[in-house]
Amino acid sequence: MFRRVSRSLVAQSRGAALVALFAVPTVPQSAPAIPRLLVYPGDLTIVEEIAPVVLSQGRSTVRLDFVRGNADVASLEVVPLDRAGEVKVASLFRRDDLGNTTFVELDAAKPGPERLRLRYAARGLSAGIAYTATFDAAKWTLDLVQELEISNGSGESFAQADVRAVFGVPRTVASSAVLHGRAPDPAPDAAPGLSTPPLQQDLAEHTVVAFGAPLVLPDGVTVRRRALDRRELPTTLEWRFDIGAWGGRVWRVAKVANAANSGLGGITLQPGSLFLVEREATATERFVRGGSLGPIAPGQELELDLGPTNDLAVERTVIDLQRGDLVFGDYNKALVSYSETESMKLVLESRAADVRTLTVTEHVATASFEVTASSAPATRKDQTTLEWKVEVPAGGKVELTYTVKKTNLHP
Amino acid sequence: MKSTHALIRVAVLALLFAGLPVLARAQSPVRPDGDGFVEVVVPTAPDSVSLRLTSDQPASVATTRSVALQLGVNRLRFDWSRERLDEGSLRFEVTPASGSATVAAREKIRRRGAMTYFDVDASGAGNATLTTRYLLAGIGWRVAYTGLLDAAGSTMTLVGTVEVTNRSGQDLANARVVFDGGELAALTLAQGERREVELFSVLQVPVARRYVFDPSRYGATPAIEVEIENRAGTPLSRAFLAAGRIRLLAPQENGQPGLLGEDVLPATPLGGKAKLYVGHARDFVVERNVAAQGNENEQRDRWNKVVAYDQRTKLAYKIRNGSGAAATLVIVERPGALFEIVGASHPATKKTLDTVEVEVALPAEGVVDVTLEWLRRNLW
Repeated sequence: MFRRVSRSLVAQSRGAALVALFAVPTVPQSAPAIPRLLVYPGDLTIVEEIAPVVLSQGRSTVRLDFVRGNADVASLEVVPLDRAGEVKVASLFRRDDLGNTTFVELDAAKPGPERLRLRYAARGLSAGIAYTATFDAAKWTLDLVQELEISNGSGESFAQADVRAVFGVPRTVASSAVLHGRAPDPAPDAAPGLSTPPLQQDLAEHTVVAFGAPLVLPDGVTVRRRALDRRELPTTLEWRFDIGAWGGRVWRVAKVANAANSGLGGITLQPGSLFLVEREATATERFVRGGSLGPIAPGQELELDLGPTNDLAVERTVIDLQRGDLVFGDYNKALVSYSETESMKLVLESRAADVRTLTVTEHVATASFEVTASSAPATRKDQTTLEWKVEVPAGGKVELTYTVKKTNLHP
Repeated sequence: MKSTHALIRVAVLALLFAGLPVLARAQSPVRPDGDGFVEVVVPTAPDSVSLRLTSDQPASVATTRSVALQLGVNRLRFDWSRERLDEGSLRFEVTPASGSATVAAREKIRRRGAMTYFDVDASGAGNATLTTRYLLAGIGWRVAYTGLLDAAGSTMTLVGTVEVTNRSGQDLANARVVFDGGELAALTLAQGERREVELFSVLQVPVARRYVFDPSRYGATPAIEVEIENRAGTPLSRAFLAAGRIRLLAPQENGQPGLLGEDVLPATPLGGKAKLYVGHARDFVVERNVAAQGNENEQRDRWNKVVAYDQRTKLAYKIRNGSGAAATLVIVERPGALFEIVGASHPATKKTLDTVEVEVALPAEGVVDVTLEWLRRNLW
């Protein structure tokens, strides 16, 4: 990575005047030259620095020394900011014997101060999102906190940095020299504070989450800040049963709206790790599970599995299985196909104080079947899945029975 | 001269020991040069600790501490080098006695090991309560039950205990411990210690006994199943009984309790039943014979190979009740799938796709013959 722009005077070489331009004591413009770090997934960071220089008329050369090995020299882009018509970058020049050192040759129509924007790709910085979701069992509300974590393992310490994390996998091509143009430009103003509303993706390739106020980011340091904090979001609960999930126990699903006027407010949630806890009646918080969350698009409900509950229980029994409709081949009399009739009984028992609707999902081992009897209407969700929505009275029991005939089975 | 030196040494040591409790508390804020924050070393011992234990996750810990905040950014330094905590699970809240405070950021510095820093931006100086929450590994717990049956075997006294083991690296002092099915208000348990505490003792819990002959599960002798119910309005009415070992005792001839056997009491919420199996009923003798078994209705292919058939099985039992009391014995057989009951001398019920139960009333000191016949169709 650049040890900033080199301040060492470059000696005259072979008659060509290489001017060291960074010994200028004052910076003409008032804008602070805080490095901006745009941290992408996959160990890619776009570093943007502003370097003030004073140019003489005609050709000047600026020497940039890469003092660390984790900057992609080939991706360097230098842009004059203040006098676009008068100052032009003539070339970027490197020599094999000087390693990553890059000479920037500039042509100025008039002498004077100028700011150069240096942009390059680097490695060793990473960003991640962590969510903490707290479900309040008494109020049926959800607190959702999103934190952005930046780790600096680049070997370079930044005394001040404006850090933004980019979510979405950037498309890159083999030559890193064309990296510019894909990276979203950081906003020209200073990074907003902690209460910044998260940005929507708005059909762009990426979502950018600002880390907040400029950051002291020494090497070997991990910093985490709160990027989103939503409290007491109204939550609806669903109860589900599927013998293959959660060890055959009834589990709860919390749903939070994400529309413009309700719930989360229609935002994009970047993918990140999840820490889900439940606030209990005993005033304790019980860790439910870890895992991951997102991405969640605006308008898409946030859905969280809250784990099994003891309020509802299901006893599932295969009560009968019979084979029939055996078909034998005309020539060799071998068994060609048959059918099976399978009967199930599910006893749904509630220990809750209110009526609850339980969604029961059953999977049939073949796509070729029909429901021949059912105590409640079944919905065929896909080729092999049946679903019932059954109301279970408070403190009561409901029996769900059904029979399926599986046809055209082969031995 | 020597005695004077000794006195001085004793005085110095006394001063040092007197100062230790003070050192254990929060240190005075230290303002490092030029970084723009006040560093507050958080006291190692919290003011209060609560633990939420579950059966399948690390302990969820909440601790509170009181610290003095300065105006502006306070950097709170926590040292969790001893504890086996999950740093990714760390959460932090600050509640100032007056004014407001926000947690601006938290920081981890690799070269400083287990130190974690929280930056708190306070609107004014004053005391604040810090709450930290995290997952802590190394806290083990288990429950155990003892059931003492009465002489008739119709009720039992059920005692529940919990044992907590601390290998978390953190000493617990007066910690509130909440777990599935119970709570300890103030548990003191240092690293490397374990403690067993009685949770409840319930008298007169009704017990239902069932005699079951299930050769594939219990072997050739009828077993005794004991069932208790956790139901509102009964003596045993608890929100949740966590799974744990249960030891059943019954009075012997000399009046002293003797061990009947042990089983695992399954997790039983309120409204649920727990079925236990601790031993066998030697008063019953069951002779089980396969009276007949054969294939019929065979389908053969071109090469005379059987491709499908039905199988008929007939079982005969001779059951002797050697006890002086009448009883009911349940015979459980598992013919396999695709069966149907063809005949039975006593009431037989198909319970599941591969299970049939026959209920047999046995008179005192009597002998009963039982037959059961089933047919499995379309096997291959």
